[in-house]
Amino acid sequence: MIKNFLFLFFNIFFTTQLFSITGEEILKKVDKNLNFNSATMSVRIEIYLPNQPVRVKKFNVWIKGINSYVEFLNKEDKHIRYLKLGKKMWVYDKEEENTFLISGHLLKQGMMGSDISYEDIMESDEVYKKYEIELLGEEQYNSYDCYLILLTSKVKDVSYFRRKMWVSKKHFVPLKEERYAKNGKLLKVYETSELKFYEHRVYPAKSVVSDKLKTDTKTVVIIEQASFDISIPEDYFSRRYLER
Amino acid sequence: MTLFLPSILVSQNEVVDISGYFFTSSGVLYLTETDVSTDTFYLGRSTLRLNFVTKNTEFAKLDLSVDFNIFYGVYNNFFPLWTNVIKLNDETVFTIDIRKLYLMVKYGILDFYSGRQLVKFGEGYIFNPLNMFSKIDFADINFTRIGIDALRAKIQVSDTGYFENVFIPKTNLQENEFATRLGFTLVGWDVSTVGYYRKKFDWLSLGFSFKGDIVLGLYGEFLYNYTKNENKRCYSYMFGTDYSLKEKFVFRVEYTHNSFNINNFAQEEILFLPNYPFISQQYVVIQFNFLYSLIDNINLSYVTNLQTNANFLVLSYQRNLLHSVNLSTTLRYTNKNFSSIPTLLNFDAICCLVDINMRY
Repeated sequence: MIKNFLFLFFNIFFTTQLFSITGEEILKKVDKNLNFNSATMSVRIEIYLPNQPVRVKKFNVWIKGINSYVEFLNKEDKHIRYLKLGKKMWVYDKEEENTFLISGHLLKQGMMGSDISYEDIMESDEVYKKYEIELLGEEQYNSYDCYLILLTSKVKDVSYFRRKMWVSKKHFVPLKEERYAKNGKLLKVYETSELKFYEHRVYPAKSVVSDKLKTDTKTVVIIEQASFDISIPEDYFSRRYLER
Repeated sequence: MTLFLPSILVSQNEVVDISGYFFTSSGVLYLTETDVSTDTFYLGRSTLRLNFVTKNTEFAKLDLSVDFNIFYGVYNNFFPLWTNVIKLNDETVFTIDIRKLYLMVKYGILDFYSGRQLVKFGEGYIFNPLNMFSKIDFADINFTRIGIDALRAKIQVSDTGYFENVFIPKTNLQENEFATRLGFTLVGWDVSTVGYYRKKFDWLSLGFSFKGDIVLGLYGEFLYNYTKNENKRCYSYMFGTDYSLKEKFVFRVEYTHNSFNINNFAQEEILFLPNYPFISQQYVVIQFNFLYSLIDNINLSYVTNLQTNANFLVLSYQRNLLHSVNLSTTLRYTNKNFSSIPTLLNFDAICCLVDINMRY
């Protein structure tokens, strides 16, 4: 009994002494660094599949708050545009002049055959409110000193029950994230291999996403160009602009 | 050279966006009926699609989409003496289809479209009673839509809301057609209300469509046709649902019902019935899509006419060979009673096609 009490006491005492920062505070700093009111980005996606030449997709994205607008540039997809308003997403096929709302269940599909689902893209910062946040400790990842954080879902409507995150102590950018199902199965791994320094933030410039349900596949996301907190006209986030 | 030319244009043009595809397909059609003298035919098709769209759309847009087609073999029989058909020899015809050629001008919240354009109403993928204009070309393996010559005014009423009017002028003013649509998003559902007036037959049609989610994706359309002749008053509706599983499988089911009896309509009226060419009373389509990877996917579509028990089955496998180049093999089976239209695909047949599609 006394042994248990002492263990609990030392555990609480040393945990608070060792980590002068909590998991919530780390994620708030991550949010502060990564969050922006608006942004435009040119993105290159490289899709690696077993025994296949790499497939490359390119797109420009305009983001404002929870809304975004995407135009593909690679020739096989350049007739496709996306509009996301809040939790809803519309696709426009320029060639057939047809707009349709993407059904909720289809958002789990990989975007344009990549390892990144529409749901992953649509995930908002509010997502952290749905998780219990626990600081597990500190670890090195790719020579960066990192905080290791565990997020465990408090609610049912999340795509991933548990998430393990390695956050750079210096830059407050997640450098690695493992996403798990409720049964403990590893579903996805996000790894950032390059950081880019902007005026007010450090942002991942190159990340690798692996869907662990698929064998030998990975998607590399490269942000070739980005501008943050710039003025974007409101009408970019309308069906009229999508269908223009 | 034909393929090379668009590539050069794409890379060098800053004013106009040029895109499209080259598609070539060939295969065999086998008639399963026993009372025919010849039962196996060759068929093939090559299409070069060129799309030209002005890049700057701030004030206006000019959009042109043209298909240059060569049809080989038994496909010839599907083309009577149309004006846009050039017979190259006994086995080959050449056609040019202008799918789109319109000018869109912006004025405040108004977009005004004039010329040949694609106008699609409703949410159905296969059955589409609300879509009275740009119907799917079922002879085309890519199921592209056919353009209509119209004047269209579209007004933005909110981020996702719009009000549009379509006017189809005819040489004979007594045959003009008019349609109006109001679309909006309501608690996450896309909803539209539609009205048509077809002066030639004195038909007034009113309807609505919806699309949203309750675990499954749900969508539907309803259209009521009013005419002075009580025998021709009718309604059509469709209901569809889709769901994806394990990020690899997509299931879709659509059901449609037409209340009309085609015997009450003249031959020229049948072409304008809602849901054409599905003009029997009830149909069901079941679609199954297996997205094995970005490279391979398999699609199975089974449509059945519940009145005649006739079927239409399409099984296709597509492989992405490299970037924008796809290879497909398709197997189609059709019953002659499938559509209930005497002149359309009036035979029982199996068709096997192999095609290559390259986007540029």
